[in-house]
Amino acid sequence: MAQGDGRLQIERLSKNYGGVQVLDAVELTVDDGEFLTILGPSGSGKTTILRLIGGFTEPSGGRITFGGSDVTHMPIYRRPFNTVFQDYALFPHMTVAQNVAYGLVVRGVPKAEITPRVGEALAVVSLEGFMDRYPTQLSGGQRQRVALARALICQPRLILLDEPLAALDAELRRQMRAFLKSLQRQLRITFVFVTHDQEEAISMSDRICVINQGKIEQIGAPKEIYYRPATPFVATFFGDNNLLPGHLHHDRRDTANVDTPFGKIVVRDPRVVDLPANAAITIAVRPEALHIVAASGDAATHDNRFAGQVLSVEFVGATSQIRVAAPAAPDHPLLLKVPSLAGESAVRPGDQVTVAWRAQDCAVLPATLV
Amino acid sequence: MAALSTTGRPGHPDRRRGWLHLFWLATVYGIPAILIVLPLLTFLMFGFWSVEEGRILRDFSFDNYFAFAGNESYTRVFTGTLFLALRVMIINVLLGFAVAYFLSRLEGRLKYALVLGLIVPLLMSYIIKIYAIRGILGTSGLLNKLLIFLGILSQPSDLFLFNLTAVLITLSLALLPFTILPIFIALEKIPANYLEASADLGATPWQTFRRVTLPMALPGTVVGGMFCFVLAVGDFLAPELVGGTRGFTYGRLVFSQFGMAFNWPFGAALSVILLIVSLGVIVAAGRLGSPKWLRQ
Ligand SMILES: Nc1ncnc2c1ncn2[C@@H]1O[C@H](COP(=O)(O)OP(=O)(O)OP(=O)(O)O)[C@@H](O)[C@H]1O
Ligand SMILES: [Mg+2]
Repeated sequence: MAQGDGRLQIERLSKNYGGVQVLDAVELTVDDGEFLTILGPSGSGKTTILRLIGGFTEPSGGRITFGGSDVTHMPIYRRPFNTVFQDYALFPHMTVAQNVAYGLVVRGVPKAEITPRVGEALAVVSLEGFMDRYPTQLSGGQRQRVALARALICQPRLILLDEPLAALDAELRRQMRAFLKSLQRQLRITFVFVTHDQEEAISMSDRICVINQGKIEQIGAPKEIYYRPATPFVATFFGDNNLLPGHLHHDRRDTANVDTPFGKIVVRDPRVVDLPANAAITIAVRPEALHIVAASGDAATHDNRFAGQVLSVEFVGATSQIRVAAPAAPDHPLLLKVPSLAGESAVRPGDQVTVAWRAQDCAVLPATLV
Repeated sequence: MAALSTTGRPGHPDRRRGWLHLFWLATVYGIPAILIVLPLLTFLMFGFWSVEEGRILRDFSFDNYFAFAGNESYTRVFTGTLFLALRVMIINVLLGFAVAYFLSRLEGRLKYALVLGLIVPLLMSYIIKIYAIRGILGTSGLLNKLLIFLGILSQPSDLFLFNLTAVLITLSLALLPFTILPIFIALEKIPANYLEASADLGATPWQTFRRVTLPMALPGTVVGGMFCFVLAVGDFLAPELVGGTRGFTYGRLVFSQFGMAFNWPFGAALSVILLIVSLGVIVAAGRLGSPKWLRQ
């Protein structure tokens, strides 16, 4: 195990609360220095995973190892991890400096060493002047940075963060996102970060673990998850997607024809190779991959096209959302997102248009729609 | 705009609201003034008068206070009672904290059943409680029987009744719920999150207790201790019933001035001294019980 000394490994981890299965045999490996995000809807079990790693909750089954040694039942205070809690959990009876120093004080670090290290940790989060304040005298963003400094001072191998940005306003959240990411790069600490905000997940993570109802749906790099979702849940949870049911016809290696309500659609996805012929699948196409083209446009750049009627046009800011229904599949209207450009009177409801897209913009999900 | 126009018009409704306001002020401040401040002022006044041949002389003087300070048997009872109350307080804070901590760690129904069990004695008559405790402490009481059963004593001891120890035990038992409840509430209010954060930062359970639980429960503990001290130092019923001749306390001294001695002015002066001590303790507890972090 060359790289194994900072690797977190979760094997068949389960948790029930009074007979209700909250986590179901979760398998997850987090590499040393990785930024891994656990993403999922509310109640999916994100916090539960984090609490099991941190040792705040006992698992019902499974194993957690860190650097090769079993930490499943290790007491919280012995684990080489630190947590940034969602509501920060700063000690109200201690000043900022005392809060940050806490991890060193309880480890019996000499006082002469603590003072400079507290200064350093507060400098990292740009809060040098706030040493003597109490947590109630800080803003939400400042509290959050104190919580971070308090965790960092222990020099943990791994930091657990439970929606640390959820309580901040949008602008601050963007700043903190960049800050956290650069900090993580700089210190080479493993981050396990929980969020239900997909934009946050995409912009910060090395890998994302999408979880739903206590089960892992997909683990992968942000682009992989975005462009090659493994399940209909991931495809729709992660941004908007058009889902089309169909049957696969093997053609060439990674390119295939699929019979759908829209007729024959050409898809190009490496995962097709592993699927049996005539498998029931779902195609996912991003709304921004669909284009309205001239009826006589060149077929070379667009592998798929169909004629349809515009149902609605909705201006939502940077983009406009257009719904187009094909006569062959009136109950499967497709969603398009096009840039909202000034002056351009694009399409109006009722217009007859031709919609086209490329084969490589189709993700093939080896599953049927539920 | 709407607010401007109503306050700008000197009409009827405003004046009526003014009267209503005055009525409320009179109620809020008047009732306590009549029921609490007035009797206290009367007492204060009595303390400066004196008694001669069974009649109260209304001459202003500090004689009662000098008489108290100059008489060693009075001051000895006074300091003895202060120490007694202090001991009751220390015992109850230690015991009360232990019980409250144990209760706060329990889960579910048992916890609240036991807490209810603490509240019930608070609703019982004080005299009945004291008599019950007296029954336990007597030579044929439960305590002696238990000690003999355990082989600690060979025959019943009369050490537990009609002396200061009896007063100490009785007051401690009777006042224990007053100490436990504020501490229990303080412990209950500490979010589990803080304890988890502490452990997460590497603190052992004992360190978490000492550095998070204890300081955060301190305000409630101070209040519990204060209740205990103030109630113990002025009590006369318990010493009267279980103290006998050897268990004489300041409360009994005050009581006797209004009864046997029939010296109301001196009794009033002694009460004022007791009041000042109690107020001092309450103010000190107020300080100690609201540390800087709570006042932000
Ligand atoms: N102590 C508990 N007792 C019983 N059920 C619990 C307990 N803690 C969590 N659950 C249940 O476990 C499920 C997962 O909870 P968890 O807190 O992990 O969700 P989450 O993904 O963090 O959600 P959110 O985004 O809302 O924070 C939920 O259905 C929740 O009701
Ligand atoms: Mg959560």
